[in-house]
Amino acid sequence: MLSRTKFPALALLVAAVFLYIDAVQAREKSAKVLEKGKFHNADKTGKGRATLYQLADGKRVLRLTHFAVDNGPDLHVRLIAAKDARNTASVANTDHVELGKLKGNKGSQNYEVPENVDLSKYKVVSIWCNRFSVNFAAAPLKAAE
Amino acid sequence: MTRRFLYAVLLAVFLLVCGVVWYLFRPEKAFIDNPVNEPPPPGVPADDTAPAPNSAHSPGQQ
Repeated sequence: MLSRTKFPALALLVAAVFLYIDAVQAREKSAKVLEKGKFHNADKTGKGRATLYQLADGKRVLRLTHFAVDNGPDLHVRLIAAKDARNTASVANTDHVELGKLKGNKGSQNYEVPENVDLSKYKVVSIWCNRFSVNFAAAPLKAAE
Repeated sequence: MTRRFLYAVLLAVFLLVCGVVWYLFRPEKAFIDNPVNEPPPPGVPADDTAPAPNSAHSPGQQ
């Protein structure tokens, strides 16, 4: 049988193993930050954060937080194949991917990034007015540390 | 009299059609001016409360 001194040590060991397994499972379930950046003004005013996550199921999601941009017609969220987008003219003819219509000009929101999008190419999130082809605000993305 | 009546009817129909078309394609409907607050996706921690510092600035200010 176990002695009085060995039993607490064994109990602690078992508890530690269970805690470790729990932590590993939690880490596997948590999303991984791929890239992030902050919005700056372009031809209109915008602020907030853009973070690209890889979820546990492999899907990639762009999340905008503390986000606000000037209101405008037919605003969309784009990923642009550039390093930054300070205005409209500099990225007017640059390759881009549409992530969808902007859900709101203020507040937190999520946009799914299609599987076939090469994130090494598209480094800027832009709030783009499709009606008048204007870059409202942009967030250059950098790899998460 | 008949011709004047015809013009009046045509004008009324024209205005009615203009009104319907305007109603269906109201330009202000395209304007995005509403707050949203979507929850984070599964596995993503809740947003930290502090807003991004100095995140609103014009390119000229840099």
